Amino acid sequence: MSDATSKPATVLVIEDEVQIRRLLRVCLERGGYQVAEASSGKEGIGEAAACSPDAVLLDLGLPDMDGLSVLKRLREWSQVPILVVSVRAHEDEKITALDSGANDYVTKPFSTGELLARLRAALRSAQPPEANAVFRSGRLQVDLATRTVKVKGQKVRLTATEYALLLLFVQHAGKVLTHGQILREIWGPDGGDRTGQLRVYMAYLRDKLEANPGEPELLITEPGVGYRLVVPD
Amino acid sequence: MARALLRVAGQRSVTQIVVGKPSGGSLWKRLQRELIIRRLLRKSGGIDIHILGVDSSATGTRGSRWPVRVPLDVRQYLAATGVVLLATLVNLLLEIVEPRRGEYSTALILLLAVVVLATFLEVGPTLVAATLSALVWDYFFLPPRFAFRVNQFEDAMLLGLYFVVAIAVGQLTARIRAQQVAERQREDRATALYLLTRELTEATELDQIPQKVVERMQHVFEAQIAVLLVDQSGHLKQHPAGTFKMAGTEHRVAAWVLEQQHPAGKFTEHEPTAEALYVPLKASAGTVGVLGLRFKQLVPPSIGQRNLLDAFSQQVALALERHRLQAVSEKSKLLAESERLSQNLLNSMSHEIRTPIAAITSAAGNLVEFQESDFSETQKAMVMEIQEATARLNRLVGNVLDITRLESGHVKPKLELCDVRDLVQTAVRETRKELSGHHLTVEVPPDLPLVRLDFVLTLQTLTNLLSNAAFHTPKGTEVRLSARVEGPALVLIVADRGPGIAPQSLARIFEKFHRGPNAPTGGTGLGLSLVKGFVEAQGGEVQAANAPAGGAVFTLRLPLDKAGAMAAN
Repeated sequence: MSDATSKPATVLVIEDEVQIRRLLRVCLERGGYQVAEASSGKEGIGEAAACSPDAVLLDLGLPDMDGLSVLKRLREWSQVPILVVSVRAHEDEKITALDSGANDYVTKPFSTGELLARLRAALRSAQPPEANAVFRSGRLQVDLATRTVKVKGQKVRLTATEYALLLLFVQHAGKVLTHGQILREIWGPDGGDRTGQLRVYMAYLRDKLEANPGEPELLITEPGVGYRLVVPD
Repeated sequence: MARALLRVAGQRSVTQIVVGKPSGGSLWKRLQRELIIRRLLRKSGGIDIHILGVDSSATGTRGSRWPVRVPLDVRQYLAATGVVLLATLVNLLLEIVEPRRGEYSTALILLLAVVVLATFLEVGPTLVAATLSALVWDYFFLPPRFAFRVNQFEDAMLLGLYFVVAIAVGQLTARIRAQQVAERQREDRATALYLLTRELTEATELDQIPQKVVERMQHVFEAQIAVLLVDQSGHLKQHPAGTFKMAGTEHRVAAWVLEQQHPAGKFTEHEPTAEALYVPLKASAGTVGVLGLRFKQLVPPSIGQRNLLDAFSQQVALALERHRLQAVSEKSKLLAESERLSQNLLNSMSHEIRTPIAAITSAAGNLVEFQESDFSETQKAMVMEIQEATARLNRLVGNVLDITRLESGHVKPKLELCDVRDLVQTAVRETRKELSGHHLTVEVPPDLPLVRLDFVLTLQTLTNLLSNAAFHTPKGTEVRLSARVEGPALVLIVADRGPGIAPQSLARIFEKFHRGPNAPTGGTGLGLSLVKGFVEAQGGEVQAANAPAGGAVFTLRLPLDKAGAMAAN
């Protein structure tokens, strides 16, 4: 972590299971983070205001209030990256959490490596993107200022919709975008019934950007939820 | 009468009126009827009037001067005679008190008797009284006395007056009385309807409705009542509350009524030989039952009775409908509640079991990822064992939860247009680790259309089949995953070149916890049951077979709806 050397980022863990809390603390501290803990939703909201963390790990199954309400309450005043950590593996719940403002979703049981990678991606996406930045991920290079897309240094021609789609992924690199979020961003509020078109454009984008469209490494499908643009560590 | 007819016709926007041609009955009645028809014709305006002839031999109507339903009461004749005798006695007494009185005062007293009688008695007894009075006056009081002789015109007129007064007052009284009767009947019917409506509203159980209907209707219609309700299979079933036992033929009539939604049976044109009259109970969602009425009366029910019967059957149908809707809403409430309960149970189950699993996984992961260098080979191997066992336990919990969801009907496919290539890629990515030692080939034609299916369920099906192939075949075995559209279905095939499926297992391979004779240990025994469940939840089917060249072949067929397939390019 580059900013871990200057000032360690603080992660607030809102989780009622003491064992999971202890383990998360160990694993996060080893990853170079400072850890704050809260064992209930109310405490979590208070703690988030008190210590202004750089990221929040939020369990959805809290004893005092629904994790989703905690999420919505936090989103009322804070743009802090929130990772939902839960055993509720059903896609609808993931979608609800993401649509309510969660940055990512990790299902228990998770591996430490996976959790830290997701956390890094969430922290990175929280930093304001530079206006004329060039986005790089593996063989892909997107120049936001000149709107040029290169794969392995070769310029790739994208249609307006394809570029808009790619831009959306670049702006939220590493984060899961739900189908609904993408449809609303690209096709407007009544884009909800264009799921078929989204599938087709994703296939086009993969054909143009992936080394092997049969095994995508950049644009990953999150089954039943949406897509994610992978950011290399 | 004509004016009343036209008023009703105006209220109901009638365009045609059919009347019978006057025949039979007295000359007076016939004249009256002809007058009505003439008035109708004159004042009907735009309404068509049809006059039908009546075959008098067929109907066999006998001319009856007085309405049949009026009972001839002997007591009324006795009363009439008695009052006339009383008036005569009074006259005789007055003659003793005042012998110089004229015969006309006696005539007035007798006339008074006739008037009084006419206001209380029927027309018949009144006429008898008038005749008696005339005879008494002529014989006893009119000179020459004790002889039936009339000399002067005024006397003859007076005699005639008895009859005119008797008839006029009698008619008037009869009319008032008829109006009273009609009024009372209307009131009775309104009350009956009101009481029925109230009772039906108060009925909380379905069984109470026929009970109340029978009690109320047998009283109002003086008939025996049968209530037939449509049961769940759509058949009519007589409710035990009915007061007459229906024969087989009667059931046939009732079934016809249910089907045609039209009254039938006695006093109607369909099956007039039936014992009872049957009317349908029509509700908004169709006919909910049939009412049967076995009348005591021999004549067809009057218009008033018919109207009342209509109103009754409507109220009963409404009550039954209301009850049915209430039952439906209650049932769905119950279902929702049970669904919520089982969902809660599943959620807390998965939470309670998975939390410790998450703790173990995370702890073991921490050991490997941060302390690798300090570990001996044995220690590393031990941690690997822990990780593998927890992964298996987690898989088992997931599978059990999935099976429970499937079996309790909580898996509802979310059909969306999906890219089959994406589906196959994702399945391959998710099983990459398990299949790392195998040779996997993927065959998906590039022009495959978008297909409407549940992405997650189908993905789980494919990953289960791929894991199954990896698990049951030795490393290095070829595994092939292919997709194509075949007729109205998407066909997904997972085939391997391994040892194949033991013949005795073929039939039972999708059963829960079924294990083949040579199956390695470590599986959950649920993977293929889940495959079958997920495919069938989407209306598809799965088959297991052995390829002629060796190896197991699993074929999934998912139906395509025409709107679901859309060209990808």
